[in-house]
Amino acid sequence: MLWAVGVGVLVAATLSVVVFTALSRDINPPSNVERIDPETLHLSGEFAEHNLGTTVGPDGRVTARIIATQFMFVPRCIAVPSGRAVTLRFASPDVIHGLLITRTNVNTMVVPGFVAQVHTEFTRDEDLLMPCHEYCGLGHSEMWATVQVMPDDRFKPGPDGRVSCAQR
Amino acid sequence: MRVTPLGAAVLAGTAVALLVLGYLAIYLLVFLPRGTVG
Repeated sequence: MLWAVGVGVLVAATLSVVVFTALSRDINPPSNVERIDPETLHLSGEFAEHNLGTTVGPDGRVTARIIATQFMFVPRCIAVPSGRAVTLRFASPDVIHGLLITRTNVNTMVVPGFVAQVHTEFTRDEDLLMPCHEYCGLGHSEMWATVQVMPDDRFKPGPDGRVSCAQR
Repeated sequence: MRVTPLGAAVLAGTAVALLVLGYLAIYLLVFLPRGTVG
């Protein structure tokens, strides 16, 4: 009985930490459920080539749209501002991919047929590595992109609302 | 398990305490500073 109580206390403590984190720090597992046809996503609509990359909407919302495909992310560099809310949206036209962004809590799978969406805020101005972390085929180890976090004063959208990585 | 040898209880308690401390250290020093996500 004593052992059961001890284990119960530990389980309750662990669950409390998860709930506390979700409520107080707004940290949750990405749980977007949104369908998209993987066979046609590149032809028109949100994930057509001219829509990929980072855009700033009229309301100031920053959204990056990225395709994860064998064996690259398109685009290969994603510009984001620091200290502002950013929405990352991913779709796959072929197999299951996954990604994480180093030194952040961004971590999700990209399942064909669904849009993977992550809301986050980058805090430091630096280049971050974004590798594929779900084995997707022979070129899996070559599949990675860069997330370029810029200070807000250098994050200037063009007339079309788009922002690209700075050349260095 | 009605009577637990003291040594076994201390060993198990120490092991679990170390595990919980490690978990809390990662949570406080790595996970939370990495920022919001959802």
